[in-house]
Amino acid sequence: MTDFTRFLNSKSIAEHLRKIDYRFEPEEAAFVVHEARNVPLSEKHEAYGEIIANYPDAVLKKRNGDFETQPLAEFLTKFMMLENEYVAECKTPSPNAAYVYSVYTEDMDGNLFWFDEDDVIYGTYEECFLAASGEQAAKIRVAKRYFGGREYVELYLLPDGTVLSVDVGGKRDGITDGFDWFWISLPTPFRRGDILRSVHERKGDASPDFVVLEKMIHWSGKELADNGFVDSKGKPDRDRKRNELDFAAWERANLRHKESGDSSDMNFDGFEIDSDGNVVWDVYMTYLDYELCLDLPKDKKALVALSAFMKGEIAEDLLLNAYRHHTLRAALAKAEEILPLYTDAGLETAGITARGGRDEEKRELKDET
Amino acid sequence: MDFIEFLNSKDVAEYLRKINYKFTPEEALYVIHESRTCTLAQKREAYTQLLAQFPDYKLMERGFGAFKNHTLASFLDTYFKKQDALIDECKRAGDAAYSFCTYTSAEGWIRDDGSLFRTFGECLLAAGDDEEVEKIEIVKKYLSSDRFVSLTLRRDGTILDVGSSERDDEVMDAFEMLYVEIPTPFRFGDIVKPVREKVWDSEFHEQYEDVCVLTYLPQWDEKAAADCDPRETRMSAENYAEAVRQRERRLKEGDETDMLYAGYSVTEHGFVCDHSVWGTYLDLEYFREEPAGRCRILTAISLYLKKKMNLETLFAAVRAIEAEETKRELWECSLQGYEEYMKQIKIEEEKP
Repeated sequence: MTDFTRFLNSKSIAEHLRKIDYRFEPEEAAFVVHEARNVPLSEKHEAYGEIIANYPDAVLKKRNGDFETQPLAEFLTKFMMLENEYVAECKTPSPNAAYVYSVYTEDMDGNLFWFDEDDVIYGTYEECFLAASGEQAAKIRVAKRYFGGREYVELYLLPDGTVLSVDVGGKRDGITDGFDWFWISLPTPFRRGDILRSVHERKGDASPDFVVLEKMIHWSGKELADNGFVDSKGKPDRDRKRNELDFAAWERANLRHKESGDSSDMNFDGFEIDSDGNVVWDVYMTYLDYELCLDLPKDKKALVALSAFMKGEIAEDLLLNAYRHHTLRAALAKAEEILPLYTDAGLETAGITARGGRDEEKRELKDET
Repeated sequence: MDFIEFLNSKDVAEYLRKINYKFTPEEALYVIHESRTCTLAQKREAYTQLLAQFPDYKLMERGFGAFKNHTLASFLDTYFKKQDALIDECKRAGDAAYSFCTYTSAEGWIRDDGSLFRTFGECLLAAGDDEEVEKIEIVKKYLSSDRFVSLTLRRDGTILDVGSSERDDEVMDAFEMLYVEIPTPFRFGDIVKPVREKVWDSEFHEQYEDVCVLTYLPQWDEKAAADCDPRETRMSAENYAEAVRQRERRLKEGDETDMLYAGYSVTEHGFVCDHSVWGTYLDLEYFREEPAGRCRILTAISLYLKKKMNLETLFAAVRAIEAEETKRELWECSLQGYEEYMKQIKIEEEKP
């Protein structure tokens, strides 16, 4: 039997599920396989095949999407057939379409991000892929765009041409977007106050999310109690002075999600630090794409204090003083970003570095900035 | 025709009218070419007027062979023919795909979301679909090549400009090799901003980082600039002599990259930067908006440079602006919705 945890994008969740020897429901397994960003399409299709073989009677219930209630096997068979068709369609030149590519590449800080390279347009898939594979890239996306509309077929590929996934736009076959209508609730190792980091693939200069977890949307009554939101009888835990929670409303919402929630409802809420140093509460999408984070960038260090406070490890005085300390440190780091614009002599003249060739000091300053 | 109407900056235009300035043919050539509001037909008409107003003469050769072996008339004749050929080429479907960008006053230039078209006509039709669109840029890109031809048009199809990927073309690139010194009304310490077309998603950049306190224009008499600079020690006799030499060189061999202006700008986070931009001093206008936010730091610097504020007050002003801005940002980001609590702890709302 396939180990479906290897399809998860989050290492933390994969490890947790292996540890508790979690058995995936067929719908959960199919969803996790579909969402995998780094597994070849051929291996995903093998995994779908195994789900079909092992759960021939599994039924996919109608949700908000276009598909009707049907055997899961039938849905997955159609899905694989369409994916294969789209791969072939993308690779076949058409007189009414042209190709562009994007690369998943490293920025100056070594972080990976998607960069659109659409200055040159190509007539065939081969020419486009050849041009893309000349770049230093971890992954490539080749898009076949049809003239005069919004229709496209895109392939996500490894640099050797192995297809990882397919994306289409402007087509309504009722199947290709089927997984968007799934809502699944897998156990995670995350607890209130944990610092999480997104493993979404970045586009442009968007920075990854670093979030201190408040609560997961699919937590049960026991998990809410374990995390200090309600007592064992489902009543808000007033002693811990935390946010009160209407447990009955929470249970109703949870039931609704099981019936008709979709992938955009697979959320959690928590706190982040914005670029100005403010602590901001928000709702974050796709909990399956988050990992436990051990190493925070300098301007997010205040989250460590917030995490410790939410876990009951420190009190308000240390929380607030730590926040002030980290905010001032982040402001100093920002002020130092501007210094490389000036010459060493200028920095010495302005008293920012010591006079007389303090090379070590300058090096440290440059390293920090 | 005085060609002043072709200037993008109203302030420079008004000043030149006031001093009754007459362009040399090369200055007129440059100013007509740089106009962003006139149509191609209006520019052609102006070039023809230029030929009628000045006796034909041999143009001075500039860098990369620009204007080599050309008189004003022969250069313009070749330039028109090349432009016409590019217009024909852009409109003729071939082994290429078309894409477009649109311009509206409210949002600036926006690139369409990746749609491609087979013909110029289909692309123009799709681009002009939105009635708000004022200008359109259509780019014809050849397949598997970095060659492109582009036309900028009004929504009704009137051509404003022609572009192409062709480099090292001594006629099409010739304008970049020109260096002109045209008088402006701007003085040391004035707060100015270039007239530019907004590009979507660069709101902050448009709002603040383009605004600067002017400290340098290439045509300023160096001594005059030094005289009004509060840092009197800045221009030594040696530096002055070097500045004069540089200016003589520019007049002989300079190109568009020497037509720079410099000054101080302020970043989103309130850092003051040395700001220098080439090729655009003729696009500057006085910054007449009420300075807001951290942009007020520029007003303080301007007052200081014009010797209307002392150094101590400059420091205090910058600290006060920073404190106000931090409070305003907190109200925008974190405190909204919590007014009741803020009242209890006597924190008053900072109105933007």
